[in-house]
Amino acid sequence: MKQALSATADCLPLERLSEELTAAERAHVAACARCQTELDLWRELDHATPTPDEGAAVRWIVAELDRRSTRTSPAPQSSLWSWLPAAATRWVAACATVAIVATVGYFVWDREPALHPLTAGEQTYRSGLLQPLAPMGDLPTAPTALEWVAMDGALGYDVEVSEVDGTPLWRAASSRPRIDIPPSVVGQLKPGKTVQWRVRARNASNTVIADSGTQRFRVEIPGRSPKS
Amino acid sequence: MGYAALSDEELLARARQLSGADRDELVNELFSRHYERVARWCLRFAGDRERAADLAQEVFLKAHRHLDSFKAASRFSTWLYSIARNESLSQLQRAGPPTDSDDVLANVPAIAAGPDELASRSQQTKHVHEFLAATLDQLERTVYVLHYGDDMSLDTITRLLRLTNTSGAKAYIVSARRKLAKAVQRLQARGEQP
Repeated sequence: MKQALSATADCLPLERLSEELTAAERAHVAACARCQTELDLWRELDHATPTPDEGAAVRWIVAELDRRSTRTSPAPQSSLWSWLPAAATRWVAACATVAIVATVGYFVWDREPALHPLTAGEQTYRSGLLQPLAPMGDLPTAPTALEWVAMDGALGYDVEVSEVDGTPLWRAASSRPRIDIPPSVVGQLKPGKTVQWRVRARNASNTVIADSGTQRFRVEIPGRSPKS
Repeated sequence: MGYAALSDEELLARARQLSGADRDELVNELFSRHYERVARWCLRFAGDRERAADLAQEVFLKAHRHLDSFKAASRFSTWLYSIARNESLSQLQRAGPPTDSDDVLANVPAIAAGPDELASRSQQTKHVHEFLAATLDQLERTVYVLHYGDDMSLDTITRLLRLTNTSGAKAYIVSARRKLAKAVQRLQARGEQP
């Protein structure tokens, strides 16, 4: 029975279930008990308000999380390690030692031929190198600018804001890693409506050298903040 | 520093540009935004605050380990929920199947086809999903899938879904099985397989 109730290849991952669905996806969810169940559970976590009887226990757990994370650390340390129990830290240290010894041994006794270095004129295109900064996710108010991390070798950036179905709302170019969104476009960013944007970096030859990929954001509907 | 105006995803994007204590500060700010929600989920799942705190710690530990794998293709809260859900179910699987199924079965009249028989007849998981979705109402379906599909105990389901009726999830399992039995009988009468 358990196997029969598991997800199928057609089932949607949770990150899709919690977003706006296409007509085909909606049709699948309507007929799929597994997807409907995942969606119900997600809504319980995302939108449900705490019940009065669990308030004290939740506050205790939150305080406990705070205590266990960083605040009991006797000396400043990275929170990565502070999240690890002491026993786990010792295991990680032991594993790291074994890994270092194995790696050194591998390169000393069984060295692979080196890769050929790139020659002048060769270019690499690596999607995702352009790091977006804002806007992303659920926002309390409509954004007025797009922002990303400047990229070495980029002389300009092409940006595009569009509907989730790809219909363009605005296209522009910028020489800096930030561009203001015109008021006419800001006015189209209605609460509850998901909008996507993308930026591509171009070099001196006008060749695209990096791409942020599609980023999505949504202006929250007043009074329905998921952070509550 | 004021981070309130930044969304989770923006906060994480800025954290990725930093290192050391500055990065940790933003990551801790990001995680602490979700402490309460994850704590609530873990409390409903685990049933007591001590086990819930341990579960929540595991969730954030895993999130910290895999933070670089978050690609902003979804909301951060959705990603974190996926970790919470998977970690909770992993703990459940390590603990073994629930012990309350027999108790439920004892309270249900004999039916033409039980869940196991139904599943073996259906052959295809997709058809089982469609059959359940078409036969059961929303709560019955959710309780049924969580109990038989994810091995969740009825007590856990009652807490997770905040069911306030006297017998909690048990009532929905009983009514689901009755409806499924009748639906199977109807199909059999028409010479069809569920």
